[in-house]
Amino acid sequence: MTILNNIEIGDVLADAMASARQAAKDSWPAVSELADNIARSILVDLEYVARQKVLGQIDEYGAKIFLEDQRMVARARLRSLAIVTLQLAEDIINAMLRVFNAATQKALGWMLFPLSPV
Amino acid sequence: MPWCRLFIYVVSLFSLLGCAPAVLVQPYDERLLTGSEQFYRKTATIIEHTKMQSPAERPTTEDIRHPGHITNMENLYAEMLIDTNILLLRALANSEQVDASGQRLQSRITRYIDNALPSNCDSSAEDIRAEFSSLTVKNYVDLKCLIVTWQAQHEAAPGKVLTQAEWSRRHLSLIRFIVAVQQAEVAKLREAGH
Repeated sequence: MTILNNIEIGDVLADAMASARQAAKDSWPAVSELADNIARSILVDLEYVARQKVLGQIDEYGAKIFLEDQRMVARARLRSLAIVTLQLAEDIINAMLRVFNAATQKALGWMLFPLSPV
Repeated sequence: MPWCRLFIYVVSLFSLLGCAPAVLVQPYDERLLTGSEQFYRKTATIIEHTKMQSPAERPTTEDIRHPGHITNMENLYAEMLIDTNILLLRALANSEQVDASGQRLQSRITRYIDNALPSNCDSSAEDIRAEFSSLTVKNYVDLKCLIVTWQAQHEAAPGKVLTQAEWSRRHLSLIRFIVAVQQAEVAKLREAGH
């Protein structure tokens, strides 16, 4: 148990880590799904073009413009993966700040970290 | 007492960092989410309508009277570009809310993606501006680029007409793109709901 200024403020670090773990647990499926999707789709697209070529259903121009479009899709997917991951980092930082904020207020009576309600 | 020292150390660290809540990503915007859905609905309708007017096989000669000829599509491309501009303006309105750390991180990610997978569009004019653009804004810059590229591809196609299969593939690309941007927004919504 942590004692600060003669006031018991609870197991702050354990609480902070638990908050961080919960934030990570909630967001991880979205990160994992996006990463999986990006890796699989590149292979699927190349297989699709090869299959269509064998069947005579795509010519060189058709393949070129399809892959040009997929490059832009891949950029959006990478960016979205980054957004979801940064969101996860943001949630972990803010979850820990909230725990420390509560502990500091209890021990010192001051609101040191001006967090907006989430 | 080591726990107490550690606590004071962490508190001091947060104090030095400024202690404001971290804003590493552009906040969730419902209008951006519904706007993207509306953009999909309208663009997908244009694609399906144009596909029905397009030939199954690649034409060997150019026929300007063909309904799928680029000259008969210019208004529709202009409409799609205006719609992407509306989304881009909406995304820009909230991009300033990202904090300094978030801006640094996002700029590095943007550089990495631009190096790994260069855009189909020339972004040199944007680079000169040197202002921060969030990853969310960049998604809509790329959505606009997708439409600009579609128009250029149509103009360069043999006979200046695209086949039905090409319109089907465009529909697939559009779905994939919108799903990617929606996944990022929906992830923010999930967190905002905590």
